Amino acid sequence: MMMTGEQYIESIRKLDLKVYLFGERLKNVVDNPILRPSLNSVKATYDYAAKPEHEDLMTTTSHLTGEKINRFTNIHQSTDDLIKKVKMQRLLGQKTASCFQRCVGMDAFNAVYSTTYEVDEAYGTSYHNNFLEFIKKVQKEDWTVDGAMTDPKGDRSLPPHKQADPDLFLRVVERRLDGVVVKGAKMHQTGITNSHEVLVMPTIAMGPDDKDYAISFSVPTDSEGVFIIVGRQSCDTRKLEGGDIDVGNSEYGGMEGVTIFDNVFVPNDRIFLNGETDFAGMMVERFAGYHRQSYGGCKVGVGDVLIGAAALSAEYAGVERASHVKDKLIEMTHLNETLFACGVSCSCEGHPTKSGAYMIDLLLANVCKQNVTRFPYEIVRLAEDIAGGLMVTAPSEQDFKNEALAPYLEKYLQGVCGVSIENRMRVLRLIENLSLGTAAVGYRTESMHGAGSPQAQRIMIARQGNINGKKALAKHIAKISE
Amino acid sequence: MDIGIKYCGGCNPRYDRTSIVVRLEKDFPGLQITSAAALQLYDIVVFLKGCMRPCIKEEDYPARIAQMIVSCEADYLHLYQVIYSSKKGGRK
Repeated sequence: MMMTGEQYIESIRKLDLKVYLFGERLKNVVDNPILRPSLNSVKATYDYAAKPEHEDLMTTTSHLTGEKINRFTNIHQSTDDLIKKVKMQRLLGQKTASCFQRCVGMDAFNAVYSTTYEVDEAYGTSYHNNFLEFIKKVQKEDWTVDGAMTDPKGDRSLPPHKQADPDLFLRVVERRLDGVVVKGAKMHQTGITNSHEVLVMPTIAMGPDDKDYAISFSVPTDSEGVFIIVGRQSCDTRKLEGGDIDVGNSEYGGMEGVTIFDNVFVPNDRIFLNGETDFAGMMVERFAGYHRQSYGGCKVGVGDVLIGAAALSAEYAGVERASHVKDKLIEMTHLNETLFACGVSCSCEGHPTKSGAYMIDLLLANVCKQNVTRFPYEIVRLAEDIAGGLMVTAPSEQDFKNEALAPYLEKYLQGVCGVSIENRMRVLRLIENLSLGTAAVGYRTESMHGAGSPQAQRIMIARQGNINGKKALAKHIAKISE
Repeated sequence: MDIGIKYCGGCNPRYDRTSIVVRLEKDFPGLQITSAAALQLYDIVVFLKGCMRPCIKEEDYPARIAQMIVSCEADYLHLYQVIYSSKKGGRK
């Protein structure tokens, strides 16, 4: 049964999450002003699924139960599913102008689904059945699930078992008849405080000596031993000031946190990989592939908002007809649509895995993400160019409300006649929010490092690029026969 | 006369699709306008598509009089004419 947005909020409220922010444990996570915008963004994934004008994109039919489900819980059954996933992400980026956090779980579902099928085929294990029961529950309850991959990693030159501190990669510390106990941490966990479950995967390909680290499972986010330390964002405390202009986006946002697993018990039926080190790499590669596809949707939607904001700022300043402004908006659109083209193309070129679930084209997905590490930065640069310096030098919202100061500010910050100073400030603060405020976490640095840093994509591009094939093409044209 | 409205997913619509419904309600106050359910029969089914891409399975939404495709704001004129003439009995 799909949840409404309000039902989702109340379901998170019922969790006993252990969340720390600014050095203190939060008594009320759901209504915390720093975190609430991020919860609203996830809520949007429920709200838009209930709207007739978007349900065709936001919902689909479960291939497991035949029931209508939120697309964020879907196992992709075709290239059409893959394309619709990207389009759904663009839509939600447009509507929230932030990271809506639910993609990481969806990408984890699909990576674990197809990998467990192949692990069982090789080893006669029952991980796929475990996962099938889990994903059916996820679909039925309409859960948001955090996909947890990135370990702290310590000394990057060493494999997990050679780290000075063995917990720098999450690992099994106790094997019991009824399950395992795990210890470690997962970094940069997007949406973890807004999730019902956390689905853990290994973070790198592993060798035989890393058996205890080749572990995948899911547990409730309020499990004993799980706690979260929220990451702070640039300008985050503006959300405590009580206004709605200087925050740039008062309704939506994202969140990340360090998630600690301090001797957490995982029952056998929630284990999806346990020591099969030769399949850790497959799970990582598939998750990364799906997540690199995702960025060709979500970042594009946020980019749409930023382009719109830049155009509005030009209009409010009276420069919208200037040829260089028009050209910059064209360039921003060109870059943004190139990202979308990559997201769609790696979906169109998808293929079925042995499990029947569809996988994106890895080369094109990595090209997509490689572009995402660059283009949003250029789009932001152009937005700042168009917006002008006032974006970062304007007085605060409180100054505009000060009776003595307001007349001066309204006199000297006036743009074109007919546009209020307040509206001019609102759009400049939105650009600031996306360029260097709380939303820049998602739009800029997450574009760089989320789903893998640039070099990770270049390694995959090198592997998939078929340079030898290209050499053969050149030899043929140049009539080289050796 | 009942009108079934079937939206596309709205991934990146080129116009405000909901504005078409607002105009219908304004221009034809007596019309019964609802969200179209698959395999249910309506007098007219209006497919409100955000672009030209054929992403709706039109065969799942049958109509007694007509299936109307709206892909841009300009398509409203034709939709208006069909509903107007149907209400006058000039079209079967």
